[in-house]
Amino acid sequence: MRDTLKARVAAAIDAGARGELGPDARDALLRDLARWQADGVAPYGRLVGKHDARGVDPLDWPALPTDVFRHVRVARHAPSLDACVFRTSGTTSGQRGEHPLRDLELYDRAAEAAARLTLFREGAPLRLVMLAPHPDEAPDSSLSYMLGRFEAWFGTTTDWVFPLDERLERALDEAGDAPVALLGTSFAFVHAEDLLDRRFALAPGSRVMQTGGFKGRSREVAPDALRRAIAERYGVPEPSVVAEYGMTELSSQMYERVGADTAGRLWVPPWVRARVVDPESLADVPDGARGILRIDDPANLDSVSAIQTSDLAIRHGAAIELLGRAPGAVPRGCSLSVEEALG
Amino acid sequence: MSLEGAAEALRDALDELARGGEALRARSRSSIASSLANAWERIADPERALGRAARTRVPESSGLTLPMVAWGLSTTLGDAREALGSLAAQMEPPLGTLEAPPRLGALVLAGNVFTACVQPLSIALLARVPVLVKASSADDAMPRLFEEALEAVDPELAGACLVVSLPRGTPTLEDTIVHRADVLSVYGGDETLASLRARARASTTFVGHGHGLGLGWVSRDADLDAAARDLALDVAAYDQRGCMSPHAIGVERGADRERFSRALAASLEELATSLPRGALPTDVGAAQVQWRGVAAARGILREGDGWAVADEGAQAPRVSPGWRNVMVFEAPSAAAFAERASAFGGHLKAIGVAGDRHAVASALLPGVSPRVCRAGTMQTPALTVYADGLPPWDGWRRFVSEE
Repeated sequence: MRDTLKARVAAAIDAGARGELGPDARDALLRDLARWQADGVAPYGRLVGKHDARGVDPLDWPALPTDVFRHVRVARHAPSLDACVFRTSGTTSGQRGEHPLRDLELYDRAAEAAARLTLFREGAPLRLVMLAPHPDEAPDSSLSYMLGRFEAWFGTTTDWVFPLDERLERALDEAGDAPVALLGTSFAFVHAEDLLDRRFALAPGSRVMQTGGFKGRSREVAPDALRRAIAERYGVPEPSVVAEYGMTELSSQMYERVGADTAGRLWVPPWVRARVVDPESLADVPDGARGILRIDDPANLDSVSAIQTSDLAIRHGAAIELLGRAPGAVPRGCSLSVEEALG
Repeated sequence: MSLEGAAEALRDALDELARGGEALRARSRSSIASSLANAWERIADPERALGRAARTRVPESSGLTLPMVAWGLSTTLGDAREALGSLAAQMEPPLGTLEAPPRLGALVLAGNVFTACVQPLSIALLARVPVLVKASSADDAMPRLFEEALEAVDPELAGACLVVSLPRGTPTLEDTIVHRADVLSVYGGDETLASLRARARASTTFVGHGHGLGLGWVSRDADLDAAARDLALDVAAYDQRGCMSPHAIGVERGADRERFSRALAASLEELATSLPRGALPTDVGAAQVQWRGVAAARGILREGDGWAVADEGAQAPRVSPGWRNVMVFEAPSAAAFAERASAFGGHLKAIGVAGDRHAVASALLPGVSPRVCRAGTMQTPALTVYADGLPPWDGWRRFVSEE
């Protein structure tokens, strides 16, 4: 069964990359994955048990909240079969979520396809500058792993600049007239703003990818302000500063499209189903209404495809506007929030 | 008005408030208590204009439903006259001392529980300290109602109480208050406390009531149905947004935890009708989904109309997002429960007990000083109750000792 499903997921990603995957085929695959995963991934099975028994469409079963990855193992396979375990960077509670993967083939397939459709559409390899740890230094970071794969798929030469220091200036200067893709976490770019005292004029065709928020960091910068600051700092048009949305608990990523005038709107890969749901009923909210983001990612074969995030979002047609992470359970005033209590 | 103009106006208001202290200090405590009771009773009485106003304005500003607001008003203010008399009696100066009230006090309120202002406001005035109340800009209905009520019943006393709400991000105005106050009593998050404490004068008495939560305990010999009813009320009260609201309930090993969880769920379902929950903010909803998901994934989750009970076996107590989500867990004994509870340190503000309260209170670790009260009374503390291990008038009273 696993081999069959894996082949179907791979085919769906490939079809999605070619623009040939429709929502019906995607949803059929997601239904079959949900049934198979509910049968073999204990915490997910418990979560959906009542709904399954009532004959509810698997697409409407509740998605597994990301917090569950911090408390119990979420995998259909035994730990001895783990090819790798990606871990979250931790919250103020210090308890890290873990996403075990039995193999990385679907992760790679989804990551490459999504990046080719958005960040690297031209196909020609670029000089890459990574403001993130090399995978050897952060073997449990899904971001470092993905960037490491980008090096193989999209890079001519690659500079890994982490922690940030004078290597950043050197790498950008050395690029000369060659376009550069500068990739890193939002926090790394904020740190670079503090570090750099000069501006750059990267060659036409250069782009910047920033990812992740500021949770637990000492300094936060509004997304629009950061986008502007990055564009000015590196001499690239603002539309070429794109956000990537990925999570340790997912295998596929969403992006803004380079060059498109859709700042703040995320493109959803065709093999992924992204919904904005009401936090209480878990039903879809209308277009334009605020809710929380649920993602059904078939590339999560050996864990759970249906993931419930804490991210606040608004749907606009096929695109998602991300409003940021809900601040957690924070009753107003003097009552204690979850994160503070566990901190 | 410019920021400087607003600061100037605030300074003038503080001067006038301090001048009001002269009349206040000349008053007998019993007359102050009487006027306070008259004022609170006007707000409690649904037949009076201010009582009707409370039932309109507080639901709007707090997000609580009208039945919940009415419950809060009646349980907090229902016996205000007697409670204030008792409080006044307890606040008489010790033998050999003369009362020397601070010239000016400031009370910074949080917005989570609308009745939380009743005790500190009453105590400030009973201590004969003119008080500036900085109310939460999002939820200032109750202190404003009190100000109106006091003006109606005792204009002289009203001259010693001023309520303000400052726009967010106006540290200059906050500093104007903080720098003038001889006593600064602050309810709020730990960051708020730290910020205000750092900006207060060295000679200012600072009384902080920071982040907090409550827990429940059910002993083996407790009546489980009664315990469930009582603790369900503690959970539902103020939609579990208070710093004494129980987030998790320990059940002693040997008691039928499954039965208790079912009974708790049934009681919460009943309360969903009699004291319905307010609308759930999206941010809290996001946290609630995560919290309930973890419960369902590793335990038994019972959900209903605006409530959830998570039975997570012997797992450590987990803080809930509030809004009527509560965890049930097993503990081997009252002593073991108290040890686990003590891990919350100074954040632990209350324990509601169905069983032997002394067994829990006496087993708490040093440095932990919550209220340990009967289940069902966690959200209805008396006006005389200790807070954070200190008498409620702590910081508001000063004496000259005649030696």
